[in-house]
Amino acid sequence: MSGQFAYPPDREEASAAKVAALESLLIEKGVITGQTVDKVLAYFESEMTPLNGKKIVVKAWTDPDFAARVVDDTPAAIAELDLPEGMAGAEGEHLQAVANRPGVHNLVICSLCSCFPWPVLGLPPYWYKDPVFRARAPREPRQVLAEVGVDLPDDTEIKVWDSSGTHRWFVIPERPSGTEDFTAEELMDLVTTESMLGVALAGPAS
Amino acid sequence: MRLHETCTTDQAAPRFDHEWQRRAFGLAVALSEFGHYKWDDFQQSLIQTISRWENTPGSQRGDWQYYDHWVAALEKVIADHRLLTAPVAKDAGDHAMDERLQ
Repeated sequence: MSGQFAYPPDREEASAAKVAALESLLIEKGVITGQTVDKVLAYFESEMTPLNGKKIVVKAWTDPDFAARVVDDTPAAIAELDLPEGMAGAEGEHLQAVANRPGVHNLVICSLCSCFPWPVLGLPPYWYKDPVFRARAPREPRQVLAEVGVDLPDDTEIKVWDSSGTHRWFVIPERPSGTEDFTAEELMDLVTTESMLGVALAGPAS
Repeated sequence: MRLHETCTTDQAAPRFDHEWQRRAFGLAVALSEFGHYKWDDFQQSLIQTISRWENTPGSQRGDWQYYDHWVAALEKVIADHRLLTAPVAKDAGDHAMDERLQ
């Protein structure tokens, strides 16, 4: 992704040096150990990925009762699934699912910073943190969605959900038609991170 | 205003351009997970940093660099909680025994 965020190299060096200094000072002080950050990162990168979200969406597509429960009480419904230990922690207790349905499309944003449902989607994509997206999405969601290729009928209501420390929204997209005979694995391939944020519809990755 | 080009191209692509961004992320999460501050405290610090940038005229601020804000927010929350200046009591499991969070 080089070149998309060009800025003076010394600025980056300054930030990099600050991070390194903070980490070693915290280790020296005994606040963390030399392994702490690596352990946390390894956990995030191996366990907290969009695969969790895909499993939740496919379960909702194939089990109408679960589909209702996951919207009513998201953490409890997720706990029913065989997902990695710790899904309830690391902000997981604040997860809240919203379901698309005919006539209603949900869009997840964080207008203030970049609150994100890590446990089910991993780390946020670049665009989620982009100031233009964060500013425009709540003001003109239909236009923004059209620009990224989601053309919704005029009578489809767009609900915009602004994430916060206590509400980490994610979207259960609609199951594409013609997928009645798909296996769970084939269905999972249709669920993208973008579709679970409402900036795309579920479907084959383009 | 146009959307950033990654809006249409970033299909769950790698999230960090550089290792220091990854470590900055891990450090902020680790300190929260081990109880040195509440995640909300970091979040508030990040919101303030970003909003200062957004409220500064375009000619007087640098390019948008998300992880610069992240690092600034991290420095502030570490200072606010005196993690580098106050003595820290720990148990054997690397968990801070911070009375403010008990």
